[in-house]
Amino acid sequence: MTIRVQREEFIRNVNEAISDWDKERLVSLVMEGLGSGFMPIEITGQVLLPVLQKACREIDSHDISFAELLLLADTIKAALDILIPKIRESLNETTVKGRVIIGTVKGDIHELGKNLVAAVFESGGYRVTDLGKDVPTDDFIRAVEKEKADVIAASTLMTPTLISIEELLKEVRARKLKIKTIIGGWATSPEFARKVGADAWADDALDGLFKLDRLMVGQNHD
Amino acid sequence: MTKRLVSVSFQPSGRTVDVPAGTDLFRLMANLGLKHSNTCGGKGKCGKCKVKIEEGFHALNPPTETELKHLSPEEVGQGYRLACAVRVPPVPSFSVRSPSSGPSTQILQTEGTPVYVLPDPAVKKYAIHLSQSGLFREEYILSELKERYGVTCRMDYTALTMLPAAIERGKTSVTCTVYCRKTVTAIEPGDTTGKCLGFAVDIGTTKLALYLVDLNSGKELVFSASPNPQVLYGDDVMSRISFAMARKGNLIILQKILLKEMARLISDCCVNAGISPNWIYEGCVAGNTCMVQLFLGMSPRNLAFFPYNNISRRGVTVRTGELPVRLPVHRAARIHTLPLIAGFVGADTVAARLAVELHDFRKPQMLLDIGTNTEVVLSDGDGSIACSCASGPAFEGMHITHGMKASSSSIDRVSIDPETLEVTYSTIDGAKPAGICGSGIASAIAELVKAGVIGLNGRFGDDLSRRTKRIKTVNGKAVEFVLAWRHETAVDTDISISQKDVVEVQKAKAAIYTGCTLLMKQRGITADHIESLVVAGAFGQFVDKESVRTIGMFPEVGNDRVHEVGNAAGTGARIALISLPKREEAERMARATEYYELAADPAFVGTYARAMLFP
Repeated sequence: MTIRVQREEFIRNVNEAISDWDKERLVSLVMEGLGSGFMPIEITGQVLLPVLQKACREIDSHDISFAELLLLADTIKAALDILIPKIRESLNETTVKGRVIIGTVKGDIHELGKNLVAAVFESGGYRVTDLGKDVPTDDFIRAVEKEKADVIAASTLMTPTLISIEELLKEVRARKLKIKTIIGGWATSPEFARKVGADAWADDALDGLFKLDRLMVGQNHD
Repeated sequence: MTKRLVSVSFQPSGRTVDVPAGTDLFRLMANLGLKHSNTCGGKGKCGKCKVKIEEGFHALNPPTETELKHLSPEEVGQGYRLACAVRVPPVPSFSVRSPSSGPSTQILQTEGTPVYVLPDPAVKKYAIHLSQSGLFREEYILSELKERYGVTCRMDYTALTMLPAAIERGKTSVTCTVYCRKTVTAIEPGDTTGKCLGFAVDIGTTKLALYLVDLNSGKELVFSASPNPQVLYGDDVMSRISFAMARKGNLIILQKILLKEMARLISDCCVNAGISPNWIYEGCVAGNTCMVQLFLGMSPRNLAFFPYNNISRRGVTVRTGELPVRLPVHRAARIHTLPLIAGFVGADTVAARLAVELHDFRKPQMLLDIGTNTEVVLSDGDGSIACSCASGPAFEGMHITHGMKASSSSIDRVSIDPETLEVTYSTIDGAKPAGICGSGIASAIAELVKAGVIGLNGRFGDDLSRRTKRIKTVNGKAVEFVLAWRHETAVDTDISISQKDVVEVQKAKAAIYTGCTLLMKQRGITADHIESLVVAGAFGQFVDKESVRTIGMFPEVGNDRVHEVGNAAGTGARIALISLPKREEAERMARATEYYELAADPAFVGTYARAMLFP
């Protein structure tokens, strides 16, 4: 038995568990994988995130249904919840890619998507402070100062609460914070992001991770 | 420097206006009352405000990213744009064509359901015989009201100003209009007790339904309905809230456009019933919280942000003179809005609940009012609990490729042969189909599931294109199923159900199912405990129970325990109009109903995701 075979089998099993939406099996597979020497960041980066990425692409081409994406994301989230604390432990000042403050803005309590985004960012090697939902502007600002964050990631699903994103970004500018901003969520659009002066806009979690990496090297909008 | 004026013409109406270059096309069309379907209020989200620029196209900025998302390259080449992204360019003339918007007459639900309530209205009229000798006529009239009719009341200023003329012209008798047994609000010459009318109105997000009622008998005289004109500023409640908040002055725009339409409906009813608007003394309003606030001219800002607190939950009475648009009613008329339960469970739910009799208080009953927002109320011996589900307008025919409202030439029933996958369908009035209405969509999806065309996950199956020509494919993948071929239809295109439509229906039915399930969980019961499931709204009336069962929209309650009641909110508004005791009951009920916030339930996502699958 070569390592390679073991690895292929592991990936196959994980994929199977995900497509069966079998959280319990997935979790136990991940535990086994960790036991047999897989690195947490390897499992997320090379197994879980590619599945999610594929699903995000497939939803656009209707190869999978929205329900399936939701269930799949929910399943993957269970595995990420185990892996993320381990990734967090393994990161240190030199290996961490950056510090992100994330939250659903004031007036909105939809955080399903935001939670997934937070998990994907962490799996991608960022240290994420999740402020949760219905987060007032002040809390974002305070967290930025406390965590010495590099990026604020703000989201909203509802249209009226776009105002809260606008408010947050105004405050960031008013205080001349040296911080990048990225926004997302159903109600947002690239045009809105430009209008309110966000540094980047993300279509989904993986797009967010991609844009985040670019922000960290100083590239804003495409 | 003045901005250059551009002559903008709109096809097919041919209407032409001169506006400064740079004017927002979407707002311009909205202000002119030109209908473009949109569901997002001009935010570039829905892609429904598609227009064809026939002249002046080349002076426009290139399409934005959002536009490119909604338009195909061919469409862009042909001059199609989204109105919300277009600003009128500085050219001498600019011409815009709206895609045909379909037939305009709509069956807007139920005139029907008779109300069995003993009339005891807030407004009552009493004839007073005048003796020749009295000194202080006001005191005499008030004492007569007390002596002869047992009503102790005072006379308000407006009534007092009517008194001299009434005495002069009435000679031997006058008639007093008494409001809530407390105030004389009007005085007329002679005996006019037989002429006492009121109106009840259900202000829906998408439509208005207005009933003219004889307050003496409680009988409905005429009914009139029309689309809610605020639709121009966004299809759903959220986009209207955004619009109201976007700029000072927008709130009054929304209030006035609504009141004007109500005025038109009242006039319509008066003409049809052959009565004078001066005999209308009261109106009773039901509607969701946002609509009630917009009607009253209260900013809906409180509904924009979690926790969506109500500013006030009591029923409000306004004099018509206090509203910014004159309604065609008696000048002393009052309008009463029914109480609210929560930010997203409003007076319409209270009204619907009023219209549905509880047969046995101990057994749990569930009331569903299906609309763009679906409200669920679960009542049992311990009281009531209510929630609101964002079901979206799929079942009202919107957000659906070939969707339309339940009106002439809409497909309302579909059946599919599981062997041959051949389709038979019916339209509401037997005309050639132009689109599919809510019940047709539910029926079509149920049949597609039963025939195995759609899997339980909501996806079109593989290899279907070999079995039937009705499956259209893109790159070998099934993307739509044709219900009616172009030559059968009235719209010069195939009418089909697309993969995206299936997803819309899945989202809608999952939202409703999740709301019901989580409320039952809160009360610790299951579907087996539900004694009756009452379904209100136009959708419930037209759809067949079997389709609903197949797609898994309601809890698993036996068909014999499911009852459709049509527009229960409208019925409830009529009940509250003709019965003051029922109005007081509504007030108590609103206070006694607990609100449950679904989005805050940790089980919401899991339940919702699973509910998206077909059972």
